[in-house]
Amino acid sequence: MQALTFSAAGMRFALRLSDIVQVLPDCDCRPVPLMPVAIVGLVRFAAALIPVVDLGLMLSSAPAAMQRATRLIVVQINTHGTSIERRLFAVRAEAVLDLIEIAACAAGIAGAPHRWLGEHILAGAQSPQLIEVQHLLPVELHALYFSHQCVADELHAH
Amino acid sequence: MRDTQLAKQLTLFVAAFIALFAVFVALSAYTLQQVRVMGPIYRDIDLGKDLIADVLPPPNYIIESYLVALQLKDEPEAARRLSLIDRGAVLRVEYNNRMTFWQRNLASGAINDVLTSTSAKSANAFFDVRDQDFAPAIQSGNSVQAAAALQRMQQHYEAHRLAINEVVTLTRAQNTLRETSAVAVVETLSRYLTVLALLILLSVLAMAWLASRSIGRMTQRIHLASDIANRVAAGDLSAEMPNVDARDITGGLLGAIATMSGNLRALVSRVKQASIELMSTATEFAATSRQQEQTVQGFGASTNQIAAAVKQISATHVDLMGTMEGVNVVAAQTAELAIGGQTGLSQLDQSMERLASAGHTVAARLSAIRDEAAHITGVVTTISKVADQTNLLSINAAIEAEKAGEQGLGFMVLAREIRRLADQTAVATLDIEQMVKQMQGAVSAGVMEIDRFAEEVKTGVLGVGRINGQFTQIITQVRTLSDRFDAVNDGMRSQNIGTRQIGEAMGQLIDGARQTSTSLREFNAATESLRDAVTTLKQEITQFNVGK
Repeated sequence: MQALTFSAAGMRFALRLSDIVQVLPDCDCRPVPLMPVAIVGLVRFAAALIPVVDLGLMLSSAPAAMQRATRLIVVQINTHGTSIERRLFAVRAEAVLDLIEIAACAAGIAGAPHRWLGEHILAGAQSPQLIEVQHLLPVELHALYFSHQCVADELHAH
Repeated sequence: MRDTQLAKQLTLFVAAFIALFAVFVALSAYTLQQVRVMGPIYRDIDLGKDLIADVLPPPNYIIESYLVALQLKDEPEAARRLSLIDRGAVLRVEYNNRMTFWQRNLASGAINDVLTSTSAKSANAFFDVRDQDFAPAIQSGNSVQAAAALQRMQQHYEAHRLAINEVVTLTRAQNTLRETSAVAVVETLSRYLTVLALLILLSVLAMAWLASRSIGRMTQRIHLASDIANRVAAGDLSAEMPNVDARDITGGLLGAIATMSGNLRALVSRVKQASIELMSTATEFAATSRQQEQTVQGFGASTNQIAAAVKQISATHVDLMGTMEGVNVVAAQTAELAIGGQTGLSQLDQSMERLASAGHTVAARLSAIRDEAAHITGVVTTISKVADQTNLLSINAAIEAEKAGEQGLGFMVLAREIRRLADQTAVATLDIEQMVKQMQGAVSAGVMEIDRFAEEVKTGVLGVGRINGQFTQIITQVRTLSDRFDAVNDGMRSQNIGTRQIGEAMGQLIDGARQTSTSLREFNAATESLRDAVTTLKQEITQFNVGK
């Protein structure tokens, strides 16, 4: 399995290619009121509006710098309740770096508030940290984004 | 004691004066008595005159002439007759002289009238008959004529005798009257003299009494003055002088002593203050003189250094004069070089102008290069965007290949190669972009440098023109330097002479400093003597008591 490495908030992260739908050039986001802090707005993708998550804001740091190499990585998440629902959102990356093979991983330091931070891929000197996209959306957005049954099923599964 | 002695002296003086005055009065009375009219001396003189009158025939009484005429009448010898005639002539001359005397000295009156008129008339008639009739008759031997003449002569003689008797009578009466008057005058004067002597004695006694009183008062004041003078002599100046009447000499003396004491007290006070100030001044003098001695010693050392420096300056002047001659030669060479430099500057000016023109051309070409670089930047940006899109496409292709599973492996390889090419393109475009930026920066810097160079060349052209003018001035001035160097050489010679004179003056100054140092030592010794004298003066002054 391969992963796409990128930089955000001055750190190296990685997303499994199976979670990625498409990589887009960065574009202006449409701000949405009353959104959680980490959601910087909505972008149009495939005749739909999807939320954009800024990892810098997720980590209570500065937002991602807007530059020529900034990308929006569109990912998909699936709920595994009684019915499978597929939802898309984008992650803002300061720069998309490389595709690497996920050969060996090491456990990262994960806590309850940051369950989206997964293991570290042991490749190169940087050891990018995998992002678990199922846990990346904030809970309140997750509740709004999926049906109540799906959420209840998922909470039950956890 | 002294008062008694002075009073005794005064009494003795008065007594002696009275005694001597009494002797004077008595002697005056005795003298007056002796020389008074009808006194002893007067009688002796009168007796002597009577004796002469009795012994000698009176010239104004012609009895001798009458007797000579009688003797001539009976004289038989001719020689004897001639002698008697001559004697008669002499007697007439004597008569005339005496008559002239009495006419001149005798006061007018009855006596004068009888003597100079009546008696003289008969006497002259007698002499006329004798000389005109009697004497010729005798000489001719005519006895009858002689007898007749003698008879007339006898008549005139009688008339003359009667007149003379009247003169005697009148003169005796007058003398008696005068003697009586003289006696009265003497008696009156004697009384006046007695009264005057008594008044003088009384005045002398009164003056002696007043003098005694004055002497007593004077003695008292002199005692007081003596006492104060003794206190002043002992150094006590605090004595106060009582108020006295200063109209007499002792009052003036006491006032003068009081003034003297006061002035002396003020003087001693001032002298005390002055001695303190003088001691302070003498101490300051001593300190100042020591400082001045040190200063003079330092001055002497400085003067020696100056003298050495002046000698060195003199030697330097000689060297400098040699150097100036060398400089004169160098100046001439400099003028030649300046002329060559001016020629070179003219060529440099032309080169600079050509350089400025070339600089403008280079600047224009660099501007064109900068514009071309801007175009290259646009192309590179486009390439960079294309590479970026290619990279994005390769990533999405890789994602799609991953989703395709086994069927997408080849596509994955292709996507990887495309991404690698895109990355290389991006790196290359980045390098090109950096190079173009550097080139643009270099070109911009070159344009700026060329512009600055053009400005500097322009400034250089102006500078070259200015330097050319300066070279002209330098050449002109260097050509005039020779005369100036001669003037400087003359000045250096004068300075050399002046330096020698300064050296001689410094030698005199050193001698003066030595003499000043010696004088200051003597001044120090004098200051010490002054301090000793002031100390002695203070000790002496402390003996005076000036009161509060």
